[in-house]
Amino acid sequence: MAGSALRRLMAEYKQLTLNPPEGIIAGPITEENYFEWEALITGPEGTCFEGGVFPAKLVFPSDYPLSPPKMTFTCEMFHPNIYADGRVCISILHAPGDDPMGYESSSERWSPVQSVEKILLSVISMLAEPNDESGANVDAAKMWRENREEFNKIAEKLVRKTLGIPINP
Amino acid sequence: MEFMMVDRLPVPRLSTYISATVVSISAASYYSYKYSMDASTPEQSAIQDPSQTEDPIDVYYEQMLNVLAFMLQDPLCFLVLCNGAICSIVMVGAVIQSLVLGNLRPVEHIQFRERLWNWVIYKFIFMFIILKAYTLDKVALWLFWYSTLGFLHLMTSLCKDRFEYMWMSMGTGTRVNWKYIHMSVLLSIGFIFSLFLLNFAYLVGLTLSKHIFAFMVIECLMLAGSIAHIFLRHYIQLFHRNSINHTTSPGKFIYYSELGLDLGIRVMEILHYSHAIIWTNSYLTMAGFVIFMHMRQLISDIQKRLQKHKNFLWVHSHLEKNYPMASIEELDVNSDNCAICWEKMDSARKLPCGHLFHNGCLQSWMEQEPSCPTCRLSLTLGHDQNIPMNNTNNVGQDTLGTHALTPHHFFHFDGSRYLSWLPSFSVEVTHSLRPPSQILTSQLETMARQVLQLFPYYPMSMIIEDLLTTRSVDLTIDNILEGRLVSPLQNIEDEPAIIESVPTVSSVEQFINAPSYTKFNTNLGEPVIDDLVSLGSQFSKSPDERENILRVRKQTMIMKARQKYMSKVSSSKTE
Repeated sequence: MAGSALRRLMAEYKQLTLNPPEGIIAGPITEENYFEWEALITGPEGTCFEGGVFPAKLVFPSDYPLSPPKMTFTCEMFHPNIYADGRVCISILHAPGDDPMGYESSSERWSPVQSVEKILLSVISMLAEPNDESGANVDAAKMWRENREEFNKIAEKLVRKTLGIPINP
Repeated sequence: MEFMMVDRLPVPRLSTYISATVVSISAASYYSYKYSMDASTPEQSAIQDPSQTEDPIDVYYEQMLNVLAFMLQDPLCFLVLCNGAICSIVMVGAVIQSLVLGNLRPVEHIQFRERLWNWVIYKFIFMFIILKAYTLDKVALWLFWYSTLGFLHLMTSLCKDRFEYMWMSMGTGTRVNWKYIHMSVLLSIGFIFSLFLLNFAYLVGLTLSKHIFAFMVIECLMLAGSIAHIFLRHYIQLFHRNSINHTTSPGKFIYYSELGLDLGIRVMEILHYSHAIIWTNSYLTMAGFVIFMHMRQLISDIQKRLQKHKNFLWVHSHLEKNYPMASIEELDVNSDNCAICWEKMDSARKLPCGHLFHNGCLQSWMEQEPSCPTCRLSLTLGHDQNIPMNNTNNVGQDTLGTHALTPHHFFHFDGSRYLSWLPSFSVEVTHSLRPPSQILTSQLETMARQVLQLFPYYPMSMIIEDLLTTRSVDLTIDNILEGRLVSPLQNIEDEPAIIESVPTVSSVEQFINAPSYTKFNTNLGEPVIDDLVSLGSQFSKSPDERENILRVRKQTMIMKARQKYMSKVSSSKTE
């Protein structure tokens, strides 16, 4: 029911504000609607996405936390586990019932004990270590496997783009 | 009630409609004035001669009556008058909408349009084929009846949508409360009106014929039922919002009356339609076909609801039987909050794996997936104790530990050793555990086509994927309209437009894309960064302040990232 979902989201927002994990900021886009959040994620250090600040949108269902939210990057992304339109494809965001790729065990999937913080942390680790088997973006997966240098260049461009720094200063 | 073609039919703008009505009424009255004057001049001059002293107001009044009488006799003018009456209902509706609901959201607009056309088409079929209203006065009467009912129906469904939207926002301020009160008052007025119409049906319908009486009564009852249903759901929502702990649920009575109303409205509708078909004997007509299709939809709705209820009952009894409530000592030892709702536990249910949850929270999760939310221990095992053939039972209980660790289809394998029919039974069980969610692919495809009609530039696969999660055309359209589902095609073509449609994101994007990378360490940056320490460790009670703090934190984060990046670049250059 939406009432308990609201209280849970409020609690998560509070926790994320009071003890923000490194490199993550998240909260409702407006106070009018707690079921749509915006999150800023910093690219993990030591990876090709280092330094970038990537905005993403989280949309929660009305029966949250029984069902997982949906997460979409609102900036341009190039990553094996992110669709061209920005949707994030990781197992933690899949409900236990559905298995679009047919390879995940249910232990990796959504359960109500997960939270926004855990989702964002696993997205950060996904940025650091793509799972090139899932193939949300086949081109990116192929390039990640075969031509890492080119991939790093594209990532570098994306990082500059999110920061608003021209490619050739 | 899903007509594909309905989606595309436009509804004329309100102002156009009103002005057209005003023009037609004035034209009709002018025409009838002319005619009535022509017709009555000889008589009137004869009559008027002796009564010269008559008050001019009375003369006007008489003329008005003449004109009106003429208009009622002329079929064209009569229809114009009917249209005028409907127009006044529409105007009342518009006034109420702007007073109580304010502007409609785009989704509400679409749904409203769909419902309006469905109503018009169904009632058109009903009026001319079932009720056989061929004479003008009959048409007028039914038109009036149905437009009043339709008006109330549309208002009710608008209120329902709005209520559901409002549950999603955090607002508890006086303004929001006022809105709740406004809408409740509106709905109560609608309820009173429906009772009034019921009375009218009793007075008028009964004198005409029993069948017509039955039609009218069922229509009124459906309206009253749906209003009561909204109130009930609202009450349940309020209960969930305000209950501090999740130990209690709204109560059996509320649950069953909600279920009863939900099913009752649909059963009534089915009765209504079957009555109409049987009465007119129109099994093999076009109207019969349309109505049969609609009835099929209703029956599948009822089935889904019943299955959900069955699942609810199973989970309920399963929890009661197999997992005891935690004792007070156990609660004391466990100082954590409930992992599902993150709130304090005053009482809890204990699972065999030792994890504690609120009873209500666990119940709603188990309806979806019978496993422990924390460690994923499968909880379907207890189900084999419900099986009447008990020779497997001892084995099941003895090996409880090992069983419990395996996923539930293992049990189905086990059962086949003892009795050949057990496996098929257990298949049935797993099916009912994920009940309402499963939609046939053919159904999914028709749904996807419906969405595709509205948004042709979205790829079918994407729509289907979204439909799989939302399971409703309306919700998917909602997702598309509110920019949650972005077409890759559109993305390339007009990126800026999408960004504009998401206001707050746009501010961040603009901020990021602003060509101000040269001035990070100007006065804008520094005070903000100083504030960050205090900002990070507080959670304001005022919504506006929270919003501001979040915005500042985001900006600071981007600013810092830029600074860091630039310093990294410059240091690598100097090397």
